[in-house]
Amino acid sequence: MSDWKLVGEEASIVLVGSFNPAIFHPEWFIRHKIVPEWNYDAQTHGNDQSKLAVMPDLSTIEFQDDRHMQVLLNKFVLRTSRASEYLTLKDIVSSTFGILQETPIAQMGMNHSVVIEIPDDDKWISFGEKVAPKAPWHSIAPYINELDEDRKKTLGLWDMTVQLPRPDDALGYIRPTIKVDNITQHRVSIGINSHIDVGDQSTIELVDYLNSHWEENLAYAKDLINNIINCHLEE
Amino acid sequence: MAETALNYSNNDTYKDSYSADTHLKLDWASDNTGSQPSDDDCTIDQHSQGKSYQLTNRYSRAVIQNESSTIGHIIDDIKQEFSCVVTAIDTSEEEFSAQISDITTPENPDEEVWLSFNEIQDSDLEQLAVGDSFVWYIGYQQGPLVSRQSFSKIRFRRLPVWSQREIEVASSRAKELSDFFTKQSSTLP
Repeated sequence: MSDWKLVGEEASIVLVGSFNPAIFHPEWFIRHKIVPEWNYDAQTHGNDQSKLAVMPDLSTIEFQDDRHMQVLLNKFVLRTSRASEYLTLKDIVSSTFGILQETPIAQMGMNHSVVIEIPDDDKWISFGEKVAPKAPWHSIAPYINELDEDRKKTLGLWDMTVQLPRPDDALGYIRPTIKVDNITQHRVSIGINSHIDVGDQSTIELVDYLNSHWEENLAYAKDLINNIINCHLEE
Repeated sequence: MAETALNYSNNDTYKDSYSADTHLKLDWASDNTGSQPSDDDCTIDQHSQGKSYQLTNRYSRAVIQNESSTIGHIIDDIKQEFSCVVTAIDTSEEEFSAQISDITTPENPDEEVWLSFNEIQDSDLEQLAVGDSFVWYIGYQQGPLVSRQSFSKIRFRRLPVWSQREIEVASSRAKELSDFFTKQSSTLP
């Protein structure tokens, strides 16, 4: 039996630039045949609040099949927790900014994250210890040594981001983040941010890059995540 | 002049780039509105613990709940994935054929399969055409509220639409090449 189990995953494409959120309305996507027609008015939360909001400074849409879009004046985010929809994220972004070619975009993030649960107490503690060893912190904050055992146990990994060089020639970086998601359920979130600085590229060139590299980036992120888990959970 | 203040990290392309108690506030100073808006007029507050956003402005009000985003209700455990192209449509039998390539095991040879119209969404059926590409996923779904069950999902690609300008550029380039090759062939010995 594995030492961990997958409890959630997500992929997202994030663009940083200058956007006009008011454009991003379901009808706009339907009219341009970017998504099939769907009854977006019928979507409601459990509390009957609509998931749809389109305003001058913010737009949020929930497409079918758990795909969520949020656009602020400076940020566009499209994400899904369904692996069978990862490819459609790319198609939606490519089609959208193939049409909105004049949109100034400065940065792009291709992200993948998972939440895993490590049920065993010892494995949970050992995972944190391997990712972020506690020993240096006993020297950095010597008062910890004087505390009782229960309080000492509250020392540990909470949130860590590392920067890696990119494996390709694109401008940017790779940032894996390891973060406690739920301490009582022993859940940790591991995310990979594949960040691209657009530089002199046009929006169309960026869309081309996304089209040809999205699957490759996802595969790379999955490998990194597996390596992070295996490297820190093995004996 | 309108002034927008965004008090959070702008240069981050990770989805949850807000810090724990980030207060995101958009202020419009207002010679274009004629009066100073109150806090209730246009404020977005984010409290990371509750993952709730509240946005109000003078025109509209919405509460956007962003529950633990990475943990969806359903996890797709994809066992097999095929890249497919529609090769024929038989409306009388209500089925279509497709050439399928195994992405999960690329060594497998391509195959031709017939699928019923019932396998695809109505919106995809309306514009089904030879040459359309789609991805076919086969696997299992499970989640906190869903017991493990098999699934088969066909997802038609909605590929980027060509703009008129792109079509004109491509046509112009095609004409240049056509002229070039015509001229070359006419000067052959």
